Amino acid sequence: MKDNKKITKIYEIIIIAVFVLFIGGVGLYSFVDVNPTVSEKEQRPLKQFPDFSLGAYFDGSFMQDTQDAYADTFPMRDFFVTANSTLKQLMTVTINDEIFIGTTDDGTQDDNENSPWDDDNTIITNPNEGYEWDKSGTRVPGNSTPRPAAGIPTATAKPAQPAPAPTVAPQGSEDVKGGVIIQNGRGMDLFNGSKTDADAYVDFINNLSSKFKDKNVISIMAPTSISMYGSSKYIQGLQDQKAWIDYISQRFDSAVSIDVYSALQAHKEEYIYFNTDHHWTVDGAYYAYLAYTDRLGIKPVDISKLRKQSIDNFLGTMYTQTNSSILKNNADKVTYYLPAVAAKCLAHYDREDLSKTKEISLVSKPAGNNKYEVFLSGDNPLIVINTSAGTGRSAVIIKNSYANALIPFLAHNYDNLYVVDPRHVNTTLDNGLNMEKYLANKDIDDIVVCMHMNHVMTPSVIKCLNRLI
Amino acid sequence: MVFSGLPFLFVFLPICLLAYFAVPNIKAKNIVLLIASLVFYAIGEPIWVFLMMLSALINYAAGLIIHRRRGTFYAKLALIIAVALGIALLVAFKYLDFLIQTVNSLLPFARLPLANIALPIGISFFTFQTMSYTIDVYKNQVAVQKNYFTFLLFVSLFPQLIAGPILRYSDVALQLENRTTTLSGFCRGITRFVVGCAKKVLLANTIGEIATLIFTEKYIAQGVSSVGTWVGAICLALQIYFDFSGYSDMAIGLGYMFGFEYGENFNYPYISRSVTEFWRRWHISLGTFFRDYVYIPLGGNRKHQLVNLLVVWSLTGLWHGANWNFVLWGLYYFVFLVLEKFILKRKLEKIPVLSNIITLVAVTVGWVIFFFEDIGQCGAALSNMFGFGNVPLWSSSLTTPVVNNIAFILIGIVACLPIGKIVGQKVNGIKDNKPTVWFVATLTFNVVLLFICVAALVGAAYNPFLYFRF
Repeated sequence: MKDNKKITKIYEIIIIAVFVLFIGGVGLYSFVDVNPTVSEKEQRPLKQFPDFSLGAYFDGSFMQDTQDAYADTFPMRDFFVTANSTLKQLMTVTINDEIFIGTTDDGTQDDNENSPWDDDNTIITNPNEGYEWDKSGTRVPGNSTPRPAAGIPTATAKPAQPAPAPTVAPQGSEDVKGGVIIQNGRGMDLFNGSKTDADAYVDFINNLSSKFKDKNVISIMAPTSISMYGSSKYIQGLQDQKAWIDYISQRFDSAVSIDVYSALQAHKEEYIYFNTDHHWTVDGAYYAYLAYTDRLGIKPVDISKLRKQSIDNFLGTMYTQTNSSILKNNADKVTYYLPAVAAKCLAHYDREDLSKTKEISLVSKPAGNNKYEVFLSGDNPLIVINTSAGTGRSAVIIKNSYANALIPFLAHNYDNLYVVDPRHVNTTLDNGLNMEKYLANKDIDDIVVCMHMNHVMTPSVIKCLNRLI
Repeated sequence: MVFSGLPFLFVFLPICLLAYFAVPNIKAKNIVLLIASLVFYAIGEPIWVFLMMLSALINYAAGLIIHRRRGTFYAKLALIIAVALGIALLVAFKYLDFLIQTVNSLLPFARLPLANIALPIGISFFTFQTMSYTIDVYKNQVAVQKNYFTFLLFVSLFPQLIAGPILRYSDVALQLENRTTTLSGFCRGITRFVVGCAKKVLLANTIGEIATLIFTEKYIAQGVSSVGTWVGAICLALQIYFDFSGYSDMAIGLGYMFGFEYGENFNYPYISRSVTEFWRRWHISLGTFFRDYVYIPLGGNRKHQLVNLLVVWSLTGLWHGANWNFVLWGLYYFVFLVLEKFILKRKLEKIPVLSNIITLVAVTVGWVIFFFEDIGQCGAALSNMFGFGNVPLWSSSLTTPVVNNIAFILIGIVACLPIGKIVGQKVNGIKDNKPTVWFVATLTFNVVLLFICVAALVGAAYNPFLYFRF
């Protein structure tokens, strides 16, 4: 009995020592270990330790940021993240190999985490200062070739009875609105539409048509991968992207809607959407491009004539939002084509000062981890593209990142492309990027609005769009 | 700062333990613990840490006056002022905007601006602790504390500062000045802390994601299926229990490490056979506080018991948050308790299973009231649950998230039963006879659970702190 007491004591000391050495040792190591600034695995920049200021200390943000940064730069972070996702997967029960992972946002994620969503709080020091974005890329009058007769599309035919708005499916499938479904090695954003949001988009397009009566207003609503590959319960009722596209298209006054849904659906067995990212692949974008050129009656570039290149090991947003080991083992290949036209692309990259520019390429190997940035080097507030296409046509493209893969093809059909990303434009500027002012001295043929369906149905995005007009 | 976070576990706690056990005597240890507690609070509340010190000072001074002028008018005055100031602080920091909003909505012409004061974390806990001390001194139930810093230590002790349990001065008065940490006490503390951490990080956070998924405003607005709402409510019940009792476990475990013995705060509430029993098992330190400092002083069951109960349960509801839904939640329990006390008596409790189910349903519905600040949304959720809403029975889109997490939900349900307690007692029972078995079991349990918790903390983004309203 006495021996047992002694042994117990030793055992107790060991238990305490293991605990204390673990928390103390890892704690000490977390200060010795040089903290990385970017997580290779999660493909995102990690939070950085804040600079000290009394103001930040007393409003609590300094300590909060410090704690967040500590957690984010924790040693062996990638190891723990993998361990957590593996353990969680062991505990996950699935039917039809389907996994749901809730995300904090509702499928409106952006390529760039730091990109501004709402301009309301931006303070502009000198709102009246003019910006010289006309210096570059504006077509010189008289230099234009005559406009070809083809390419003036007629508005989308209106049926006598426009399609009604989709309603809640009888089985009721609308409880879950946001999140990612992982199935068959593919991560897919859930989609949910609403009549209010659809009507808001219709209003925006019709406003655009009425403000620019002499131009073609063209809407490309890109379906997302869940509409192609998701199980039936995710594509019915309010989640039915096709039904919403029809609902919206049939309510355009004069704008043209490109039916990219059917074009993509016909090729869904091909690699047209990424497994680990919410975007379409370049092939998906090309089928959309073919639908576009077909509808406008213009000649598409032949993809087989273009030089093909690719980048391996792409883990996109679906992976970064879920850390799923299934997706990790199913990394994507980003293919891209070198355009057959010469193009000078000037990116107005600074939302606070649009006069700042840098030259980018239609396609170029990305420096960072987001390999979708191969197209147009990612999102910029404004990109002015001059090409050697010699078609005499110009277009404004109001878009989100989905259009980035499409624009290198469109460059073959337009001499000038003005690419506006409304989410990144600081519209609190008096002369922000008001389309009427901006296009006043430009000879534009087409105004193209191109986004994927999740953004078509996102009020904050529509708000950004409306600020342009 | 929260216990279930990496900075606490790997920076604050090791430094704190090192300093605490490096200094020689209880006086020095108390100084270390006091500094640590103030730093702990100041990290989250850099300004309101002074409010806490002021609140402690007021009650410390009141205690002294009451002690020196016992039996005189001044003692009574000191008590009244201290209690009034305590309540005033709570009202000013926690309930002011609620009162303003209520006035604005009742009087059509009122347009009072909101004060927008951020609630200092833990104010309800430390205000109750200081108040109970002053009242106890007045009633001559505890000895007065003559050292401000010792009293401040009682108020600010970081293990229970932000999420309870609510300490009684009488329970820790001796421990404040005379306590030792034994090896077995420290060991017990580690296991208890790890258990609490696992409850919070592995169960509450995971199950909470399902609850949040189902009970988000916009989901409710379009109508969640009725069974779906029930699943959400059950997940909510599990989340709240594991989160709150997990915090209490961590607090109790940390207390052991520093030689304190806190009372239990939760005693498997979901096995209760009546709502009365539930409240004897749920957040015990709050229930006894209201019993001893509100219910009994009002007259208890000797005079106007119904009114006393009404007051106590309105206040209990309000304590959980400054909004009408919390009052409603308190009154909801008032109805059940009155029903049980005066009509059902103990008849129902005698029928096992049925009484358990009825109690669980009552409590689960209660959590729905607790969750929705918007009465309209709450009503929609409740009518969906009971088939009055025009919603389907089940929504297919919920199948995948619920099935994916069914293992966690089932583990959660099983963990509500006192199985862990029985196993724990068995393991501790063999400590003397088979120390090696005890050692291997305990060490493995601690290491494995702690590792999984750390992985979950690093890997997961969802780690909410639910008590910012308390």
